[in-house]
Amino acid sequence: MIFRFFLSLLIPTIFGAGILSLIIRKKQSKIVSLICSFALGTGLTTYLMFWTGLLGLPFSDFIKIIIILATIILILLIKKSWKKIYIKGILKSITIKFYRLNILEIILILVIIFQFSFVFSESLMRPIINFDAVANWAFKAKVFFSQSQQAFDHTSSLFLGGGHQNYPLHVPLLMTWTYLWIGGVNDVIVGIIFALYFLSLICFIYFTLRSLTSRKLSLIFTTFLATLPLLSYHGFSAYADLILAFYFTVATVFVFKYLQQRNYQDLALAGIFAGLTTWVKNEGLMLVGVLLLAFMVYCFLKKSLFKNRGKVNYKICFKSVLYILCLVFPWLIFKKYFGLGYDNVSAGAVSFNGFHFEILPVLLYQLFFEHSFHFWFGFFVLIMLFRRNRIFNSSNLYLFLVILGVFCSYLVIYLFTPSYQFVVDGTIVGRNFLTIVPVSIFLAGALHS
Amino acid sequence: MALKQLKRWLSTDFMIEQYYYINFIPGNDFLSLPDYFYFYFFLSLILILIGILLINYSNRRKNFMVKTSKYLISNFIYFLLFFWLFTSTPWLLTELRWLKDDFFSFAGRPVVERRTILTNKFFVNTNITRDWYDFVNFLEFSHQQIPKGASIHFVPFDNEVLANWTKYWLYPDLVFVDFNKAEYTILFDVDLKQPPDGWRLFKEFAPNKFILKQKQI
Repeated sequence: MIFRFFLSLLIPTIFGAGILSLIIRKKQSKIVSLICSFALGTGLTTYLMFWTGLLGLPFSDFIKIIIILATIILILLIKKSWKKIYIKGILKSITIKFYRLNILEIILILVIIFQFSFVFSESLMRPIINFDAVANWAFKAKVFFSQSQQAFDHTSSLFLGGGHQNYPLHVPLLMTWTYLWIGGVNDVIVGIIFALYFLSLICFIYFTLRSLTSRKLSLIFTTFLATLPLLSYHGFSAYADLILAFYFTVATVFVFKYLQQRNYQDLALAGIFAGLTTWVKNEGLMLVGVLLLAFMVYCFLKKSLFKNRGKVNYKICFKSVLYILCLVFPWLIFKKYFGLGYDNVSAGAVSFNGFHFEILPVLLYQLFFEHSFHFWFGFFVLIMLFRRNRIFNSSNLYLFLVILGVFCSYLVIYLFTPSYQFVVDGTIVGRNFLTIVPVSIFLAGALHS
Repeated sequence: MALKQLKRWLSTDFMIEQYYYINFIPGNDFLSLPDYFYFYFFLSLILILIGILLINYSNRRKNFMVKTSKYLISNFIYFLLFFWLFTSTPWLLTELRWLKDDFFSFAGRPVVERRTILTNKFFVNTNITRDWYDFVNFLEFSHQQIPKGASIHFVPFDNEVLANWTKYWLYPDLVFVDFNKAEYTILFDVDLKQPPDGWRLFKEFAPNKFILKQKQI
């Protein structure tokens, strides 16, 4: 079963590697490539799984198609002497020259390894029992696995897995995908998916920071991320927030990379990851909106941005937005057609009611005084104050605008919509702000480059 | 009083996992204020002191305090890291304890047993006074007794957590529906003198844990 489960994740990763090789032609860290392949592969697999399922194609046939595609991609990549470059590259990336490490680095590596061990062990031992994980994701996955025809029949009560039909389906379909491979529902082994996203997020932050700053500083900021209590808890609890944070972080960091190096391939990749962000949770739509808005504001504030290369290449920017739209629009049209809406408690549009000023102290308490994020938000404010000059002089401004934008967007939602009740009862703030914590840690690291 | 509070704060209360930890990891109160308030206060105090020293005595380069302050500012991030790791210790120890406990509780056990252990762990940690500790076994009993493919309902339905688990664990063999459409109703921890009209007792697991069946079926 473990071998089948491993295959269920390897096949999409190979599929993702093929897509990635079509987009990215420049050299980049092999570990980052591997992480992107995994994220692209799993994201696109579930996305295609949904549309083919809707067209009436059985999942068993879909699996065959993906296997054939992955095999062709694997053969093509091996032909391009991929094995040599890729495997060697990965080994080179993770080889740690221990004799060059100082005591602080060793301690930090041990702390990070401990966090990985904790998250993986817990995800391997515990079954899914947390409320939203069961109600929103695991139950739907069971429906897609057991009664896939009903799950795609809009007249059935099990349409799109039953309740909360307006929720995006990446997580339940990824669970279903693994169930199809292992031949049954197993809500213990499926937890590894979330641990893998945790691992990917931590490694992605480390390796992208490493390209900006020293090993020691990269390790320090990675330790901040890896030891966040709420993040590690989400590593084994089968909630979608960690996966949302992962896709959003990857999309944001690729836009940042583009702004630094002006390599349009990064922007294309950011477009796809941003599109996949909307496929994880409804909040993804808002996050991607902020991502685009921050990009536009940044371009407006930094008119000199494209000076070196003449005019703004609107064609390329438009192409990247097109990637987002390609992934977002079909799903939005589908939701519009079936009147599913975006509200998190019922089908229908998000409603505005009143002004709930009372959430402000609760929000600040949750961010600064609960242990969810340890001292991160306090530290973040301090680092911003100490390094304020560096924020406005470089592409770091873009990251700052994204964080500010997300914070303000959540604030507006909390202040003006019925979601305020979830702030008051403490069920929403931690999970929502989990999505911007990795980006804020990345920004803090980038400010030290 | 303060000593008592300190003792309580240092006790293992924080290490007890609760069902809501997925939403937020709670802080502790010390002398009616959140414990992190004191850490922030301490941190702010140090930074203010450093600021004062640097502003007023920056010309005295050989002064030890000024030298230390400058060192701290230039190595600010290491100072934060030390503070972070030092204050993270309780959480890391908590994780270690969970890891140890879970390893001895879950390793090598089947999924149903793991569910029982985990749900009971949360019942114990939230001080549930009712006898809910056989909930998973009761569901297994219901699973065996009710014919496959039947429609079921769960009472008390307003207990969302238990209803949610019932719906998830019994699917797809038993399909969860509204009360008026259900063929069977699973009642858990309900004191019922006699079945409602149109229903009869089907199987009993315990005096207040039983299955009702519609008379028409």
